[in-house]
Amino acid sequence: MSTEHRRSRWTVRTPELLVPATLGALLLAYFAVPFVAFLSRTGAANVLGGLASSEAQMAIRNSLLTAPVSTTIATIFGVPLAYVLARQSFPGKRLVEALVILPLIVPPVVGGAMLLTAVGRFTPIGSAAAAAGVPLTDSLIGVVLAQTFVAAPFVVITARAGFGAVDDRLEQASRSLGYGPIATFWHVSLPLARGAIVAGIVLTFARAIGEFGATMMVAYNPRTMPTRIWVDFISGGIDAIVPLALALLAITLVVLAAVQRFGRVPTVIDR
Amino acid sequence: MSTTGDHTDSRVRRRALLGTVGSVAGFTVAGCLGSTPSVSVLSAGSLAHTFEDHVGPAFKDETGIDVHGEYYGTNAVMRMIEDRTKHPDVVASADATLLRDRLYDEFTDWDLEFAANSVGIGYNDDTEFGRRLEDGESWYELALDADEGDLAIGDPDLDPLGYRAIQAFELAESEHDLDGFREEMLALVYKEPEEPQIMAGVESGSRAGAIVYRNMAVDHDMPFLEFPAAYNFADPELADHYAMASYTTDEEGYTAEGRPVTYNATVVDDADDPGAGHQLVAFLVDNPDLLEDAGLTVGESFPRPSGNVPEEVER
Repeated sequence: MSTEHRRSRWTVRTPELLVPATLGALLLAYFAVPFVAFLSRTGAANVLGGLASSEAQMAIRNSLLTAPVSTTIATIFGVPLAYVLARQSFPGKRLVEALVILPLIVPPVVGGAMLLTAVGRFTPIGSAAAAAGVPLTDSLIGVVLAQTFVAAPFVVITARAGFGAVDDRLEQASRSLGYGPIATFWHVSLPLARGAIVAGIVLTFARAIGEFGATMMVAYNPRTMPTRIWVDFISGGIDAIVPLALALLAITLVVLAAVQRFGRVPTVIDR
Repeated sequence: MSTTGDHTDSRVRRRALLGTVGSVAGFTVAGCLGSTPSVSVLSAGSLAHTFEDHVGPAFKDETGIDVHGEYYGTNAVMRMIEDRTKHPDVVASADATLLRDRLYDEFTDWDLEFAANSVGIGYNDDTEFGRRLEDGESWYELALDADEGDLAIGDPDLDPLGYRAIQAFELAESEHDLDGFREEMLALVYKEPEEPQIMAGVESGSRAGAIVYRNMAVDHDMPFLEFPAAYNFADPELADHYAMASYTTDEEGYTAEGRPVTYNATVVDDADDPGAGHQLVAFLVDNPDLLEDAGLTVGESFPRPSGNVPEEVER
């Protein structure tokens, strides 16, 4: 692309993007101001010191163990569900769709309470699991249950939009060439919807690793980064939560960047 | 983009993903099985710092048992036990009588009061309110002078800290001959449901001060003006005087009379590990220094047993 061409595109496009860019900048400022104010409360030394404690490291470990598992479970079960919802009409579909967004609507604490009534210690499922040595509450499994409940809708909803945007004539072409439905899904639909699916996985991971409300109800211990942040906040105030909050942010950003890179999701929409 | 290239690529990624999932799953199982012995504590939020930073580490050093704390408002703690939402070994309450009223008979038949706390104003010394308070002006005149929402109290319907603030206003009204002080203050203060948010509001300067316990101020290095004994609820000897003030909660219609702020703990009947629970309660009683360090007050009159205290605890 020549410099001249680029300059002309720039001048032509500037006024057209001025309004959306201004509006967007206001929102960005709204995100950035509290963030900067929060960060300005502490120095780098405090952050490293705060992260050196064994409690903080245990919390990081627990979060790094649970959030990927929750995201994987949500993806393995959520992407096929998204495909069915995008491709098939059936009686009760509205009900299924409502069920998918239910965890997004209820406050996480309520979601956690619902999980407790289903798998809590005194329920048939919960007591059977505990008797088998696999406690579903106050365990890493409990954390995964809570995270999956709250975060899975993101991958379902986003992947569904991705599959919906795939021209189904391409799938028909694949079928007419003799490929079965699974081969078609695997080689045609899935690659074409990849961008949306990866975006959904990223959202699900971010939501899972930051999950607090439902996790607190189902498994306050062992502590993940958000629960540890809460306890630090209760016992030490705002300054005490800066190190783990920053670590949580850094981990999520790294994962996000890695997934975008390996999932080859472009930062600018391809034309 | 060639088809073959794409396939190799996705296969590699798939294998990497499976590898990650496999190792993560392995870790998870190992993490669940390799747990150290632990005792779970459901406690008033005002004891979070005490358990997390003082009692927990010391108890672990002495016994090798991890203390797993969960912290909520005391009323929420009682509700969670009653509803069987939570099933801890030890329950610790910021209101000794509340624990007896709500948990005796069905969940336990004993408790030990192990420390007291005093009520006062935690403030931000960068605010005008804070500066004038440090200059020696009386808190109640400054409080009446404050703008609506400058001062915070706990939610009196959810948290003893909240209704104690109102009871303190009531006792201060008679102590200092301030007609209508309680009602005026009720109209002025902001009711903050969560104790941590109360502290955060004052620390960040969005509020000038809040009625808090001394140990909360100690935890946060927050300047603190302790109320006089007549309404700081820290002197068990003044129990009758404190009882002259009362507050009835909206939702449950529970009437709380003013009483000394004493912390008590019990081990619930169906605890998973009653032995470890008894050990932890005994440890609280045996280590007053730890509690003092955390901002609590452990006077001569502690510990104060109530009900059928098990032998392992009483010793």
